[in-house]
Parts: sequence; structure tokens; C-alpha cells
Amino acid sequence: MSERTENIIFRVIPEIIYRAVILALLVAAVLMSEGTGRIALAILSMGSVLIMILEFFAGKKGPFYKRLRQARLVWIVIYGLCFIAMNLYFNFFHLKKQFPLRQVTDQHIYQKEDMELKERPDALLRELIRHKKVCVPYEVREYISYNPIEDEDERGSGFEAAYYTENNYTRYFKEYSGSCSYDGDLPKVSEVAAVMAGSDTSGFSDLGIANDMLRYTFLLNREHSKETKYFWYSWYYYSFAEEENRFPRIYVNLESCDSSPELVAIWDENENLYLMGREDYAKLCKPNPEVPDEN
Amino acid sequence: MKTDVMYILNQALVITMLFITGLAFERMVEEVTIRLQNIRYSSKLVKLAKGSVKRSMWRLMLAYPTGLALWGVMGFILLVFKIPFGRVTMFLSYMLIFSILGYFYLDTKKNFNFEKTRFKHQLITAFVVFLLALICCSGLFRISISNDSYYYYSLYPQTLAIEGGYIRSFDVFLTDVGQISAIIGTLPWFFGFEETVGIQLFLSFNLVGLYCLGVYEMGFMRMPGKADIGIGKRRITNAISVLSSLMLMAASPFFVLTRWILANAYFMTYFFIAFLLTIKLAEKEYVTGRRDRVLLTIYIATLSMLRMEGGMFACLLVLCACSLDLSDRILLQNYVLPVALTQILYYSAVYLELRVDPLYSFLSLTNVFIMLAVLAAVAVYIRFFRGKRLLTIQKHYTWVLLGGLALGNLVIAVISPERYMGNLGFFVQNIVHQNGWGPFGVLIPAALLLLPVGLDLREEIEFPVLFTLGYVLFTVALCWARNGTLRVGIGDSGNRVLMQIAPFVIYTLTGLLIERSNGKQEQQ
Repeated sequence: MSERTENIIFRVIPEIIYRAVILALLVAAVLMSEGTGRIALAILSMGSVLIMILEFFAGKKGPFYKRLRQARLVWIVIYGLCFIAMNLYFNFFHLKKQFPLRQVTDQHIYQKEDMELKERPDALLRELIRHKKVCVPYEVREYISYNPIEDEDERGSGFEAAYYTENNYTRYFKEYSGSCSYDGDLPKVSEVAAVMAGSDTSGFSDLGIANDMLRYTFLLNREHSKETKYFWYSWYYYSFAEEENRFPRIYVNLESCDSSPELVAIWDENENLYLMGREDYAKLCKPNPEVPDEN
Repeated sequence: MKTDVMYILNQALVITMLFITGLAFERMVEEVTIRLQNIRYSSKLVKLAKGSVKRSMWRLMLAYPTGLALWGVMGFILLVFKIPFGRVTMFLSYMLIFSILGYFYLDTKKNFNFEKTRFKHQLITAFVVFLLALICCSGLFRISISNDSYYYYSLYPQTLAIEGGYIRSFDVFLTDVGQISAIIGTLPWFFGFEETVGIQLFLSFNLVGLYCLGVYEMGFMRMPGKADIGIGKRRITNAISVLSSLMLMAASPFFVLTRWILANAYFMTYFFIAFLLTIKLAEKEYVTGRRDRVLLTIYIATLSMLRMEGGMFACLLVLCACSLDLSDRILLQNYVLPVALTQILYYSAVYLELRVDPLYSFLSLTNVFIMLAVLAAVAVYIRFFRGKRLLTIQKHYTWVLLGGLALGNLVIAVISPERYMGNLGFFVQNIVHQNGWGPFGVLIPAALLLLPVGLDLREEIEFPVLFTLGYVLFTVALCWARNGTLRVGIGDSGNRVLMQIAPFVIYTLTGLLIERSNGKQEQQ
């Protein structure tokens, strides 16, 4: 194969294909962009195409070639500056629609945007309880105490919801609070609705729904059966919860939680959580004497 | 909520301590490895010492990533070997490593005084780092937090710090989360603050500094002499590196990933550092070559455990590095071995020790065997084929590698057209609709057109070009290989992985523009 033929096959043709593909991409990019972005991109593209065409006719030496090289370098700098300007413009004026940014000045992962949108309430919970003692109405019980069938296959797809309802919050507080203790005098899940109905709850803030928080408490479940795995937790607090419209909420008395060293956590059958200081519990949530004691 | 000054100070102090430990580690390794090369104090050293400013810059820029990587790797070793993971054991691990290094370092100092370092200068450096860390922790720069940030990189690390070890009930957090990302996330819980915003931002700014240094060196090497526009070589290289660095900082994908509290920022940083060090190693620098090899080993180990696909991407880097003038020994010892060790230890811990068995997870036994098979294949190629057999094919290694990746994608497209084409469509849509990409994706073709004529299929593909193109093909194929499909949206996992390409693209384009505008053009 002659050198000329080789040059054509290995240099000229690939170069033409490469330039054609890039031009096609550029045209598509210009057509798909809008507004000032389209104008800027069109100008940049035309400048690049002009330099490409001039280079084709310029040859490899001479004063015109030298001038063209200088023009290319200037155009590269202009391109760079336009690149920076266009990206910065997008970052500061358009990106926030798809990528909300927040200013974390107080070093907490929970921010005022979360409180306004009632999102990720457990991020605030973890900070509130981190150095506090929390009293809960249940001790952690194994699944076998809810369903005595040991063999997983024999258990089938049946599921004891009380295993989650009674234990998940307890596990959470045991793990992330300063200390956690069982208090048998606290109302059980079936009693809480009545207790809270008869109390002044105006001091409680609604932080949002607890499904994600409860879904991830699988992390704290030390048993090793199918009901303790992420798949079941995800099904119960995500898929099943959507079907049953079951979205437990977290209510916190922020003032008493902040001031009191000992907190009380109670929750109802729907796993709506109420967290408050011990003194506040004594004043606000006196157990209703007419509610029969199941124990 | 009230501002907690202690949180800010603690995080800034941790960043400073990571910097100092990284710097100390680098200095000791450098001196020890020089000693192992039996360098004698001679006039040769005087010549080498002339490069000491450049070496100091590299050392400073690599200090913080080294310190953070050390924390991650040591934590990982404690966890997989079931040694209690806590402040005391980490401190003892640091003491052990620095004692061993210190023994050789002090012994080295008896023989020669390669470079005078003053304690005062080091104090000033540490103070400047502390101030910069305070700025990063101050909340001046806005960040983004998503569900994964809360649960994967805050809740799980907090639980890991409390438990002090892996437990079986961690379930999908063991198979879906890059473990070293989680270990980095334990820093707040060990040292009295709550989030890693400052740690991540400082690393991102460090990456820009490293990038600037890398572009400066590349530019300086590729300039054939005084640029004929009348400006000195050093000045124009400075200008190019500053302009290129500003382009990187402004680039939307880079902006998004560095502000998003996830593992992508860490992965992008360490991947780029490993890429830069690979180029540096191929230049065969006499003095710091061995130090760079040690650091590269740590970075590759870190990289392979920062994200679940980290090991695979490390293999891509090795395969691309095979095109450079690196010995088989370096490729096997400093690239393949750290990946193999981290992956084997991790799989042993997860499947043999803990017997984790989630119903649906990113990591499955099939993926484990594929990873081990790929590692074995890469090792066999390097040991038995590279430069030894099938030399006719290896003469065009870069084209074969790129062609192989393209062919692999084609095969996947044939056997699973719906999912592959669907994923490809999602990638394109995310770029076109600027989901995290901004105008980056549409501006790059304009830059490609600016490259002077110079394509020649008879020449081997340059390493940065090979790696960048390979990264795109590899990402598309890898996203097919994981379960589930992608989606249109900034938060899509595949989209975020592809966005990590930003520094490689800008670096490669900068290099090509410099070379083609000056070097090759003149030769033609």
C-alpha cells in the first residue's frame, strides 16, 4: 500500500468522519438549547468551524499560518471564558430547580428546610436524643414471642405487625440516645390515642412522616429471620404502607426535649410517635383513669 | 437550632489532623524509599533538589487525600479482621504504622539531610490548613443533602461507630454501600460533630489544587519551547492551568457532585488522583517514584471500596495503564494487588463470616465471581501476555482495548437490547436535558472541533484519551450489569457515575489542545 493511500485510509478519512460527527453533535446541541444558551453556543460553534475551515486552506507554514495559530489560541481562551460563564450561569440560576442547595451554618444535618418541608424528622430526633435518657413503654422482644412457629417456611407469608409496632422505636432509642430504659407505667400502643386525645398537644411540633426512619431500623435488629431483613422492613413501611395509607408521624415537644435531661417516648397503634420531656409528660399526658389497664 | 461552635472547631481540627498525618506519612515514606534505593549524598542530589519546590507542592496537595485514605483503609482493615473499630484502636493502628516508618525514617536521617525542613514552616502550613478548613466548615458554601446522604452516609456510619464492628443485621448496608465511604462518615461520630460537609468540601478544593498542578506539569512538558506568541513558557503554562482549573470548578457536573453529600465526590477525587499518579509514574521520576507507588497503592485500595463498582473501575484504570511504560511489577503490585486484597477481604467478611443474604442487593454472589474473574484475567494478562505473547495484536493495544470495550457494549446491546438501549437513552436524555450536566455536555463538542487536524489511526491512543473514552463505554456497560434500570433525573445513580468524568474530560481536552496547538503542529 503506498504512503498516500495509507494517509488517506488512516488519517484523512477518519479525520473527515470525526469532524462530521462532531459537527452533527454541535448542530444537534444548538437546536436543542434555548435562549441565550443557544446564541452563545451558536457563536462558539461558528468560531470553531471558521478556524477549522481556515486551517484547511492555510497550509503548514507562512505568516498566515502563524496568524491562524495565534487566532486559535485567542479563540481557545474565549471558549474557556464562555465555558466558565455559561456553566456558572446555569449553576446559580437554573440548577436550583433540580438540585436544591442549603446553607449548613449550624453544623447539623437537619436544617430549617427539613422542618418547613417536614422531611427526614429522624435527623432531628437523633440530635435531640443523642445525650439524653429516653424512657420507653416496651422492652425489645424476639419474634418468636409473637409467633411461636420457628420454621420460616412454615410461617409462610403471615406477619405479626406488633413485632414491628412494639419494638422498632425501642431499638431506635436504645441505639441512638444517651441511654434508654423501660418504664412499665408508660401507656402501651392501644392506650396512647386515648391519652393524647385527652391532653393539650399544642406544644407538639409535627416533624413529618416516620416511614423512612422506621424502614431503616432493620439495621438495629439483631435477630436473623426473614422478618428482620431490609426487604421486609422496606415492604412494610413502603409498599404496604402506601396500600394501607399508613404514614405514621413524629410529634415532638421541642421546648421540653431541649430543656429536660430525661425524655419520654410513647407511640400509638399507627406508630405515631410522641416525644417530650419527663416533666412535660407528667403535666400534659396524665394517663386517663377510665382506660382499663391491659396488664 | 443554635450554632454549635464546637462542632465547627472539631471538624476543622479533624481536617487539619488528617492533613498532618497524611503529610507526615508522605515525608516518611519518601525518605524511607529513597534510603531503600541507596541514594548517596552526592552532586546528583543537588540536581535533584532543584525539583524540590515541585515535590513540595505535590506533597502538600496529596497530604489531605492521603490522610483521609489512611483513615479509610485502616478502618476497613480493623472491620474485616473483626478488630474493634473505635478511636483507641484507630489511634493504636496509627501509632503502629508511624512507629515502623519512624524507625526507618530516623535511621535515614543519620545518613543524609536531603532537604531542610523547619518546624516553623510546618506550623504555618498547619495553621493555614486549619483556617481553610474553618472556611469549608463554616457553611459559606451551599450543599445538597438527599435521602442517601442521611441514611447511607450518616445513619449507617453512626451505627457503625456505635457498634464498633460489622454485624449481620447491617444487611443491605453491607452490600450496597461503599464501606470506606461509610468509614469516612464515622469521623463526625468519633470526634464530636455531626456531618461531613467540611471534610468533603475541603477534599473537593484539594482536588482542584491537584488538578491545577497536574495541568501545569502536563502543559510544561508538552510545550516544545518558548511559545511563539511572545510570552514565556512558564507564564503561558500558568495561564493555561488557571483557566483549565476555573473551567473545572465551574463545570456543572463537578459543581453538583462536590456539593452533594454522597460518595461520588470522594470517588471522583481519588479516581482522578490515581489517574494523575499513573501519568506521573510513567514519567519515571527518580526521587519520588517509589513514594508515589506506595501512595498509589493506598489510593487504589481506597478507590475500590468507596463505591460498590469501585473495584471494576480500578480494573479499567489498570488496563489503560498497561498502555504506558510501566513495568509488570508495578502494575501487579501497586494496582492489581490492592484491589484484589480489599475485594477478597470484603467478600470474605460479608459472605463467609457474617453470611449476609439480602433478598435484593447491588452485590450478589454472581457479581462477586465476576469481579474475581476480571481481577484474575487482568493479572494473567499482565503476567503472561503483556509484552510477551500476541505481540502483533499488542502493538495496537490501545485500539484493541477501546475496540474491546466497544465490542462488549455491542454484545450487550444484542443480548439485552431493551435494557441496554433504554439505559443508553436515559444517559443521553440526562445530558440533553441538563440534569446535573448544565451546558457541559453540549459545550464539549465545540472544544473538540477546536482541536487541530491530527487524527491518525496508525498511532496509539494517548492514555488520557483512552481512559476518558474507556470510562464512558465502561460506565454504560456496567450500568447494564447491575440489577434494575436507570431513570431520567439528576439523582440517577448511572447519571452521577457518568458525571464523575468531568475532570478527566477537561484535563484531556486541555492536554490535546496544548499538544496539538504547539507540538504536533510544529512537527507537521
